[in-house]
Amino acid sequence: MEINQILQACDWAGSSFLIFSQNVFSPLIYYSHLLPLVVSLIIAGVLYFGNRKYLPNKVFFVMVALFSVWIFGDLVLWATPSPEQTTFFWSVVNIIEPLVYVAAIYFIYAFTRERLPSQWAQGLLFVLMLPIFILTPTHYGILGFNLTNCDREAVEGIMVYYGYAIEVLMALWILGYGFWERHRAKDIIEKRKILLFTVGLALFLLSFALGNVLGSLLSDWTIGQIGLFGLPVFALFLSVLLVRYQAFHTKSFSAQILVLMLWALIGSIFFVQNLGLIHSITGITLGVMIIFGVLLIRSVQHEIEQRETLTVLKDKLEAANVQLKVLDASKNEFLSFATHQLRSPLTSIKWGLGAVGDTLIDRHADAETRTMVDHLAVTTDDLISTVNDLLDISKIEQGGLVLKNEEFDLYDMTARIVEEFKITAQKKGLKLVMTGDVVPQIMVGDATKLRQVFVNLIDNAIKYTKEGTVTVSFTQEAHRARMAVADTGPGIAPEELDQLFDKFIRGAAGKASQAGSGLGLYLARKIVEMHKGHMSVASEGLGKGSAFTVVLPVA
Amino acid sequence: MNDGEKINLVDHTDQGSNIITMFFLIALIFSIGAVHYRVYVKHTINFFLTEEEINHAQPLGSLYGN
Repeated sequence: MEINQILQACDWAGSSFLIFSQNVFSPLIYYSHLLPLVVSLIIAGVLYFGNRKYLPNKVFFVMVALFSVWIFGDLVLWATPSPEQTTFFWSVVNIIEPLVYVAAIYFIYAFTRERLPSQWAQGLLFVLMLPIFILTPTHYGILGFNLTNCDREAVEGIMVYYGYAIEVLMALWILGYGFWERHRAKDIIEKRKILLFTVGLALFLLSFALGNVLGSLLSDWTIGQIGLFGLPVFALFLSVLLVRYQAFHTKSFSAQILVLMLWALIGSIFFVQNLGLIHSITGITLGVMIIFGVLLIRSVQHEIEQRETLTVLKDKLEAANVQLKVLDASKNEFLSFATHQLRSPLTSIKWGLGAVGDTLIDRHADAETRTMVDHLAVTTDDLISTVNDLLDISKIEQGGLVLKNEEFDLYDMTARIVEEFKITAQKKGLKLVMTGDVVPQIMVGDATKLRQVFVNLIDNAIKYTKEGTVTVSFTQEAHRARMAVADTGPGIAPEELDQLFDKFIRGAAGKASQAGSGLGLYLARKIVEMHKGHMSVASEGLGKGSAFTVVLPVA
Repeated sequence: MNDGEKINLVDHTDQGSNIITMFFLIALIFSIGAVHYRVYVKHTINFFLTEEEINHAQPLGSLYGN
């Protein structure tokens, strides 16, 4: 019988686009080949175009491209009625198949060490592949075409066993290398990543090889179809790596892969199913999915970019904060050191000036010289007071100021201070009056420090008021004593009220009229707060005077 | 290992691997080309009609060759 007659007698259906045909035995499984083809290409494409510089992405792209060619070739073998096409694509599949394994070896090297195998390893792979390249096109590769029972399959030559042998060898290479790298990795997360990757890759190759080897050995090619499901399994492992461990240095991969998987799924229904209504419905769904998918990916990318920017800013802020704390600590240290060094000589100067003043009086020195020495003494006192304030502040800020716990009468202390300042007020032509409840108010605290606070308030009031009255009121409340110093001075602008107790801050009116360090009120408030009290200021505005209030707990 | 050594290592590998990748590509093209030549140009496809022919590698004949 002529071969042409046998071919006609077999009566195979024709194929369109090489892969669509009635010859297919089990259409569902057959067309499901398309899904791994599309999905694997999409995954590799997204990874590669997401980060082209990252070596594993490049290698994975090549591996998947080879795998896709393999799937396409395999699809042709199922569909085509042409002996030439069967022979040609069968050979191509036989060449590509071990190349997928070679690419898998490159991939595991790239994934674990971000570099390709050594030149020796690459050379060995090439030598292993050389017989395949040379002998597959000969009759050692494909012996011929099998017409037994109208089978549409090639009769394979001896090379096919060599191909399977090196595939097993390369699979063992991958497993061995993967486990060795896992053993070598120091980090537990790194170990898990490598294990997951190796197992995923091995499962893919195993299912890929097993289907073909069994199909070839048992001459039952339907088993060969199992192999195709290896890649979705591997895709699953990859997805875990991507989402869980942010492998492959690609951003927003989970959203992209979700959308692209849906596109692939709907797209494959659209192209495979050809049933009028369903076709148009899937067409519309695909269109809508593409639009919403792009929007989703963009929004996720935008969000991720924002999050990354925030993380960078947060890190910068934290670093700046640490630096500031270090600077603040060294500043306080310096301040404390400097003021200590200043106070001792200033005290000596003060005593020296006192002695000089006495001598001048004894020797009846002229008035001008005495005034000059008196002026020097006052300036020295001011300087000592500023240095003391600075020292107190640095102590408070370093947590080094320890308060005394002594019992004293707050009212009595206030009344004494008011008495002391009456002469100073009279000299300036001011009235200094004390009003309120005359009741002893016993409290426990540091009398010296609180005296410093009250002196500061009354002194300020007298200093800044040019005419009128300074009123010190003392009132008793439940377990609290309220002491207020009100004056008819220049007042404070509303916008300055909030900052008045900050360090080195002085009101505009104060700055214009008097010299000062801007430390007094800051220190006063700190001391009051350390006594669990409260200090506040009120002023109706510039030119309307001001009132400072101190509230302290009493027994 | 300092950075300098690392860079050298990567460059070295890349250069060598580029050459071997090229070999792979040339071999692949050559191989597929040879298959194409055998199947479509020389038409040397043997046909087997029985299992016995297959087992003894004695084809029924070639469709185009003879």
